[in-house]
Amino acid sequence: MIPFIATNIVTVTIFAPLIGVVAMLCIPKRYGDASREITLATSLITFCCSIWLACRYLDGAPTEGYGLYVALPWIPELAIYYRIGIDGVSLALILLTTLLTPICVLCSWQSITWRRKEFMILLLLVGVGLNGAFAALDLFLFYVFWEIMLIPMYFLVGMWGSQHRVMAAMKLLLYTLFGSLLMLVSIIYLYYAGGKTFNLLELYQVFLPATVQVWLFAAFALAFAIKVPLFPFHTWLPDAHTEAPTAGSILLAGVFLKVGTYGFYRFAMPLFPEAVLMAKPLIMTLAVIGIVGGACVSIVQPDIKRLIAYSSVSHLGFVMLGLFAMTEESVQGAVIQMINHGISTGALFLLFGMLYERTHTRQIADYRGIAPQMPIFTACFLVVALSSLGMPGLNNFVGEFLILLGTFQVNQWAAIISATGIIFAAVYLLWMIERVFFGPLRKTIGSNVTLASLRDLTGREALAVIPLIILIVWLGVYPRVILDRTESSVATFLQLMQRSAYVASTDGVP
Amino acid sequence: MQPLLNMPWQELADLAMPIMLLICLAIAVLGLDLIRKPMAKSGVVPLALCGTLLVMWLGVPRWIAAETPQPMALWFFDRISWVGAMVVLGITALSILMAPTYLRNRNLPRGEYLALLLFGVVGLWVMMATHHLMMMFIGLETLSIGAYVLAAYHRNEDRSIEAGLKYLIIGAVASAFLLLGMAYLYGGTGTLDLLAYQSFGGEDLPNSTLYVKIGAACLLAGFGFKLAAVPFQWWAPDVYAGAPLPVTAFFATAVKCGAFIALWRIVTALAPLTGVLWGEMFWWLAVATMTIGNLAALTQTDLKRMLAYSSIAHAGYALIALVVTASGESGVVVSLLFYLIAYSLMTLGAFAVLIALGGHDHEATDLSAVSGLARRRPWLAAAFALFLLSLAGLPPTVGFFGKYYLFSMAIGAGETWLVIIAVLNSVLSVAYYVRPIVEIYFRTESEENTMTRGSFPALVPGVRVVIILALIGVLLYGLYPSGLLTLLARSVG
Repeated sequence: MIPFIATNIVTVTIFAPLIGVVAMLCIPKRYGDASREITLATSLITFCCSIWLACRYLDGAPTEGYGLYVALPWIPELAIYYRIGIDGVSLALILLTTLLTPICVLCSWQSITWRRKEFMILLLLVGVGLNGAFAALDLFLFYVFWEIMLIPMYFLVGMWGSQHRVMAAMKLLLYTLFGSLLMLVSIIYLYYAGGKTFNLLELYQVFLPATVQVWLFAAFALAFAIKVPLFPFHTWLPDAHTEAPTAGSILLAGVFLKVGTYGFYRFAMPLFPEAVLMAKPLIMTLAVIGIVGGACVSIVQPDIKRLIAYSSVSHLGFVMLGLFAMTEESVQGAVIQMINHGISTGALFLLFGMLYERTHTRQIADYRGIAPQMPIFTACFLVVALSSLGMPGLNNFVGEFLILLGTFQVNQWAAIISATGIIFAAVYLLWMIERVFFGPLRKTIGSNVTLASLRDLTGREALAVIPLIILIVWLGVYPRVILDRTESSVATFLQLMQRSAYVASTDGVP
Repeated sequence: MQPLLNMPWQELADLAMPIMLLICLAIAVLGLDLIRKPMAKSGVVPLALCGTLLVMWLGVPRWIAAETPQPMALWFFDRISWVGAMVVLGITALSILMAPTYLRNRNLPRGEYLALLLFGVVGLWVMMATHHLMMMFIGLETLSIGAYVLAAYHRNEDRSIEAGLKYLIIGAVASAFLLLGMAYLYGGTGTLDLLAYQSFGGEDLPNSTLYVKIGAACLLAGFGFKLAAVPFQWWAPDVYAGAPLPVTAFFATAVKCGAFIALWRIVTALAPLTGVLWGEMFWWLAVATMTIGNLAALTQTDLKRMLAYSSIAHAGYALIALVVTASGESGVVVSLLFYLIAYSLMTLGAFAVLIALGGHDHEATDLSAVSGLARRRPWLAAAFALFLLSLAGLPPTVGFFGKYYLFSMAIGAGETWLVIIAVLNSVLSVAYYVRPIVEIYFRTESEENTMTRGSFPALVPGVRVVIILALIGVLLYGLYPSGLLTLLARSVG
């Protein structure tokens, strides 16, 4: 049993949440309340699996390519295989996913009372889709996981969201499907063009004519850009993030969006290097607009969740900028920024979710001077906010700095303009904190909730926040933990991207 | 064609045994229903069900044995016909399971329903297992006459009568087109034998190519009516909405499968004669059918009508396979068969849920009927949601894989733009497939508490079995389509 799990540790990590799903489907209704405990246990088991996975990967970490590679026939008639394997980047993202899931369970411990069992089942299913997408090395398999994560997320937003949840869920579903179905067409086309295979490693070696590449890249990029979201495809995001329940927001911001950037990093860019060269100016421009625009829009948001949501647009603009600048530093920075944004923004949504649970309002104007009531909460929120706005010594600084450093070598103006995004981040976050936490205490919100009686963090809530705070400080002080592991992956990525430069410089003749 | 005296009669008798048995079964059901004892009346359902299963059981060895099929007289029992027959018989078995309680609750006779259904299946089978247009026409008419009566089976209800009448008139027009087309084809080529067409080259037509083209167009129009392809779809929503639910389920699945397989035969036979035009006609037919089906479905608030339009849209997707076939790629039929099976499974499941929702003497097919279903019937709600997601084509359901396979084949044959249109249509279709899901799941606790909670009928065992079987099929073939794919691929050979 143990050797079997050890050899198939990636598969086990992906599908471990299903144990909890089956358990919850089987337990009789009168034990319905046990769903929280089962889910927590399952998500912790999954987290342990991913730690084991990390150990096993790092034990025999390959200098290039993918570790723990498994290929099993799934639908061999159509050349569809269950191919999974991980490198440093996917490992980091899987760890992030499995870490955030138990945190989501903890933060929903009391806030979700209605249809709790269904909520927990869906939460676990999102994890299956996410981990699967990060580990898939077969385009078809990736697509299936990509869609599998969407359906439970749709239900999470639609069933437990706030007032406009139906519209927000619909937007999330239709936007994402629009992009992903066009990507499916592109995948199928690539399957034929690449010699009837979905194997990513084989497709990396296929070189298509530039005109074909452009079209295929366009379809892939659209799907991923909607997910990231890149300006101007971001309009679904504020609604979905704002309306979703806290756990949904954490997963959405923390990992869901990363599938988009990961998709660029793993699929869209290395598969179509020549198209990337052509699209580079366009996408870098959009990324810069996203960085500055997202930050500016954040400043004027009266709604805290919306503010955090728009800040995601800005932060992910950095990731896109770093990826498309294609220097070693910038790509390294983009990769680490994916993780850091997941931690910081996840923590922001988590903390705000705790406040919302007490007050049931998202409006900044409804709060004032709550810091003395909730000192620990305020301290945590400050640390997370400072990390999010890129304070040196905390995690986000590392990624943003590397991205700007790398981008500056390629395109100075893009780097300079983007750097203002960090200033704006300070404006919107600190201004929001000032209005919410400081000043004289506002006595009441509406009619029944008094701010004077706010409780500080409970033990359970602290338990959810502490791991994230530790990571924020740890990764800020010692980012090598991630940088060392992702180095080879980034090198492979850059090597794959150079295929186009080579061909372009020699005018197609090797 | 062989001289009749030289026929291998024994072999023919052996091959035709299942269909003969089916005819006997239909007559036996009618006969048993004549006996005026309650015992006999209640025996018709088990008889029909067991008989259908027996016919399927007899069909399997003949299906496997049909490696190099020979046309015999007017019959042509090749493996595709056997696949089609098995699918149709399977759907029939499920339709038989769904119906009895529904009919009893409304005081409708069961014997005639079953007999008409079985005769209809005979017609379908004849349509699929022949290489001769005349025989195909006879099969189609046998099916249609049963279908007209079945549509109007709820004889106390105006909507049902209207449906029957509409179906009859439109069906007659369609038959006229078919006959006209056959006449032109005969005029152009001198034969109605589909296998004989394949021996003609592009140039050596005995008479005029114009006749062949007009004939092909008329045949297409005739089948267009039967398949409810745009612009021949006007009857379908009314007929589907007016007919009793089990009948609608049968129309939307079995009849469509049979008609598609018969049309596939015609398309492959005529492809070398009619050239590019044939493919282009199907191209436009496919695009119009899926787009208009989906657009119309968007505005429906009645679930039965919505499923009717959705079945039009799905016919549009399936027509993609015929576009590719018409341009000469015959291997695509595997994806067509897979798609038809996938579509039948999820559609039958969805209709079975609608039957389960209905009251004692009325159908509850309005969108509001499913409001808060998740609370009252969590499993039924989950099943319905899954069928809808499958119809929308989301993994890990059979609807996704069916669509993927179809699209993949089409792109392989160079029809990328058609697939892009189909994919955009899929996005459109999600918008209406999730509307019931919103009603089922996305109500708040307080909203659900205020909803009137009338008496909710118990789930009938037969309907329950259908839902469970469809559910298993949708998930199993969605996650692991390999087995079915291999089986179908061998059947095409």
